[in-house]
Amino acid sequence: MLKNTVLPFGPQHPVLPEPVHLDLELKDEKVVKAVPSIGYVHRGLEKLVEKRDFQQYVYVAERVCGICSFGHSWGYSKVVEKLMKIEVPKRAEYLRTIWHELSRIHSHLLWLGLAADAMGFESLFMQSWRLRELVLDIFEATTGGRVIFSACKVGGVRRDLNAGQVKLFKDNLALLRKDLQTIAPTFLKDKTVALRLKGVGVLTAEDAHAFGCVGPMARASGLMEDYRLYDEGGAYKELGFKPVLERAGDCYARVAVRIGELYQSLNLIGAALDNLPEGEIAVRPMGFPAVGECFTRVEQPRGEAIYYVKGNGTKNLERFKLRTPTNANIPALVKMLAGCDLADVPNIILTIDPCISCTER
Amino acid sequence: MEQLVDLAVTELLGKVAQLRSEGCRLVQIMCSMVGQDYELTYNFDKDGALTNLRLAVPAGNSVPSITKEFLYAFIWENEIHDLFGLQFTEMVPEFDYHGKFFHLEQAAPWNPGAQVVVPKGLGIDASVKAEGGAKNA
Repeated sequence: MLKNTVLPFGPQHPVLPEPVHLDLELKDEKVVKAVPSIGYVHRGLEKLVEKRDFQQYVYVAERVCGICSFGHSWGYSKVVEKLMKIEVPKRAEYLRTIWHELSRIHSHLLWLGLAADAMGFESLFMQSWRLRELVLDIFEATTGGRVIFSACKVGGVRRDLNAGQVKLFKDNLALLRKDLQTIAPTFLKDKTVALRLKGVGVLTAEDAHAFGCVGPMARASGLMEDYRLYDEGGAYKELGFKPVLERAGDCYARVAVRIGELYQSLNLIGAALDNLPEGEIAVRPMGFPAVGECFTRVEQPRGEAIYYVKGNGTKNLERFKLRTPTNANIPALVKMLAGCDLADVPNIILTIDPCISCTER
Repeated sequence: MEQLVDLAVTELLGKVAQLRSEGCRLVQIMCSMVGQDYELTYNFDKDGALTNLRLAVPAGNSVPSITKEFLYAFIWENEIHDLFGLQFTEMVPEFDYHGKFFHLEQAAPWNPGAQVVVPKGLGIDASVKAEGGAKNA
């Protein structure tokens, strides 16, 4: 006679880079139901918008997350620019696209390392993070920072690229592409990786839609969900962006989408560097944010993030709100965990690429 | 500036059902306090364009859950309930966490005036026992 058991999973667990708790109701080794709970790393960052002026707050916004920090500073700047009707120079839009896509490469390489570690594939973990160093070196050489680099501001960007930095970009990315071609086949063709990931944590396209998935989670199930298709900022329209899609919806498909996006980001950065327009990199905001409310979105490495601000005509915004992609993907995680084997829970959780500090802000 | 469609609470379910039938995706539900009252914003997306609904909810009132139309709304309805103390009625029972979604020292910390009762016990442990289902081994 089988007996149901409630197993606490997290907040501290070797597979979790950040604290989230799941109560797993088990029938023998099968998960019957999963109940998520959060609240361990809430920092009250949104509230700080009342204490910092609209220019200073960009430094807070980029600290929402250490991995997609540039995307958050871009999202915040973009929504304030919309409220203040600021037209950003074209060169700044290209530079934002370049640093944002480099952040996507950073995020996906970091995640691939964590995924390899969760499978017990330590050398693959080490190789993935070794490649990530090339990306951090570019950040350092072009902005002075390796993770939080404050390149974005309301009105444009703070730093330009000179010819030497463009060359460093291209040289490092060529090295990265070459090395990626040696480790990507291990993720995609190795038998042990396939045994751990294929057919595990399957989310059909219908379920991905019904559970509101975003980002690589949605695209691995075949959904054409990518805000870069519609982005009013950046250089995506000029660069001819097309999302990477897979159909299987399992953990393997989520790995395949992210690897496909690594190559795609390399191509986007290369095209943006080749077509970098001449001109100014920023305009000076005049006055304070107007009275009113605005939304904007950014396709972060983990998926769509939505940014909201409410202005009151003073230097301080009245409200800032951010909905991050992990927040939108938790319902699908709950769906995937119901019915899976207990041994697959770590891999399934990891393949949503959870970022809890983003989620709690 | 953003277009916000003001709705009465009684109009919410009808409008949400209409947006769903038009193929919209729920992007988020957002809550703010305006004085003692709640201000809810529902964002929906279709092909990159947002539709934004705005609800003013007087203190002490509840709001119908939209989980029957968009199941995954439970993530935001549970969050708003736990942080602001706003009650959502007729949430799909399986996804109503009864104040257990956020680990908090104090119930409804962003609206200290709210009356919120959180059952004892931790997470699913409490909810499972309340349902008379599984028990800890």
